[in-house]
Amino acid sequence: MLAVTATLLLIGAASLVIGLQDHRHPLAGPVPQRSGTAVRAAPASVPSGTVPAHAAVARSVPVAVRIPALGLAVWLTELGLNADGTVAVPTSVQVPGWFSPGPSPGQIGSAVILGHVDSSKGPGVFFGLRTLQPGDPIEVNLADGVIATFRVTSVVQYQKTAFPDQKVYGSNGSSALQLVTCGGAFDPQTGHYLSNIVVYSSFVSAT
Amino acid sequence: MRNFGHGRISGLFHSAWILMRGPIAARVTSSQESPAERIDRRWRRSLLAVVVAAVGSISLLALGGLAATPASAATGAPAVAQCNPPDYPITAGFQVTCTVTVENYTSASGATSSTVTTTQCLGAAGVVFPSCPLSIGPVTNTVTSSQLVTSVNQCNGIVTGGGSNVYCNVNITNNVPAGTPESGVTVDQCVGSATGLGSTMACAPTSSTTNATVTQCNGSGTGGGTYNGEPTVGCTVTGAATADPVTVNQCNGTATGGGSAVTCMTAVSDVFAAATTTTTTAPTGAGGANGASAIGGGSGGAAGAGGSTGLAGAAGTAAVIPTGAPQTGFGGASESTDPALVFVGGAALAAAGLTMVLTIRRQRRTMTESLQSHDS
Repeated sequence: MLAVTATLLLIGAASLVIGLQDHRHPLAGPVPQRSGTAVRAAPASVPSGTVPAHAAVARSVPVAVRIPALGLAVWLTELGLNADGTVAVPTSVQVPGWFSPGPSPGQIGSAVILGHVDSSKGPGVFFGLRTLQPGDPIEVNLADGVIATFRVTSVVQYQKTAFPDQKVYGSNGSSALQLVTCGGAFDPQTGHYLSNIVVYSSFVSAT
Repeated sequence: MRNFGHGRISGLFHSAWILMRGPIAARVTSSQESPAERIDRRWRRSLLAVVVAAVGSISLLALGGLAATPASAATGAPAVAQCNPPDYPITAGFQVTCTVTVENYTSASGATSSTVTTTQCLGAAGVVFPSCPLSIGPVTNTVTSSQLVTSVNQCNGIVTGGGSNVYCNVNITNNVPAGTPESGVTVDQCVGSATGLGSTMACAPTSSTTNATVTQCNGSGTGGGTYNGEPTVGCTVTGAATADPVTVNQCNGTATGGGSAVTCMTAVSDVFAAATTTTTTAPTGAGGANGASAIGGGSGGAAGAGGSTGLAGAAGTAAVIPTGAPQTGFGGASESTDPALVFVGGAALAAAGLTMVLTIRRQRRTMTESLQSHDS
């Protein structure tokens, strides 16, 4: 009986020590893929694929986004610019925001939605963003009742020091939607991640 | 997600279960029951009845509040109001998401019109759009008027019972002729909010102004606690100037119970009809491509000049390119513990303690038996 007690004590202590330790960050490393190479290369330009060459949807404020592959359906807030020219990020960890000075989803140009990957306590609304795969649908509910559907064309991880502003926010003449969050390794000194994850998607249809 | 309200109710049921154990144990030994035990049993039964009645009352109140809630509809322009009592409940454990999008139009000749789009969703705490399975939403409603919207009032004094999340946004765009003067957007925000123990507040700006253009998030989220790392009260106002005097009053005196979160935002912007803008411009001359469909379904804008904002026609979309990478993470996922291992460890330690107790009892019994046999 004493041997059993000692064994249980050892198991308990070991489990608690390991369980309470910090873990290797699940966002570190390359963007995962269901098949193929481990690291997805950044596209030479904003992905086009089957993107129509014209805007299909009139400007309307996006109010919600749904990503079936992540089981995600959330309302959206609006984001503007900070005084230093950087994009404002959502106040809430669980609510993503649309960059409202840019195009709305479905207009010509790149609509951009940003969300937090985590808070100081746990995962945020875009925690699973890096697991999206080309072809995954993204639906955006617009305030005028239209639902704009996009399909993921690529998922790219960029070092923050080399974040491609023009590629993410600029236009190539077609309608695109970019989802942005943090990723890569976490720097505890600065309290920030060293990379961003950008999901590029192209407009498919509007209903 | 949040379980504050559920935890409270389950706590009551737990209390009732504990109380029920007393009478059952007493019945087993009823033949030997003393007067004191009888009084104790009656007291337990009375308390149990009170607890059951309290649970029933709370449930009925919650259900009654929902049943009495009609499908709320925002009023038309020029004053917009939604998501306020009595349409919305003042009880606990809800998730409220309401947005108001205002498009004010003023032509060069002075003709006015407005389009107001409202959305609302009332669900149990933790249930997000589009699942609003209770009585309201998701509802999207669009109202047009020949008048400019002058005020928006929403999400005030609701879900004050604790364990609720309130997300309310107001977006105002004033489409005006070039040269229309603007006035400053004054803010009265986050005053007397998040005062409870363990509360956090993230407001931009935190400001106290009498008769402000935007009055929001005052006296809210005062019950203490946080939710999933979010600020207890997180409110922002963007837009420093407005061409039309639209006042916003939202999220005041709201979600004042414990374990609640209030996240409200107001964005005000002006769009001038001529090819000028107050926003920053794209440095690469991509404006033409971005001068796309006009707001409100107008025809596509004409190509803008290289390097311009691309605002063409009535209201194209400026090619605004932010600089730098967004900071959208705080590392919580990298520093989290493994709950499964912690559980296993705790269970193993508990089992170890139990086996130790059993061992000690067995040894005592063995010693007692050996002593008795020795005495006899």
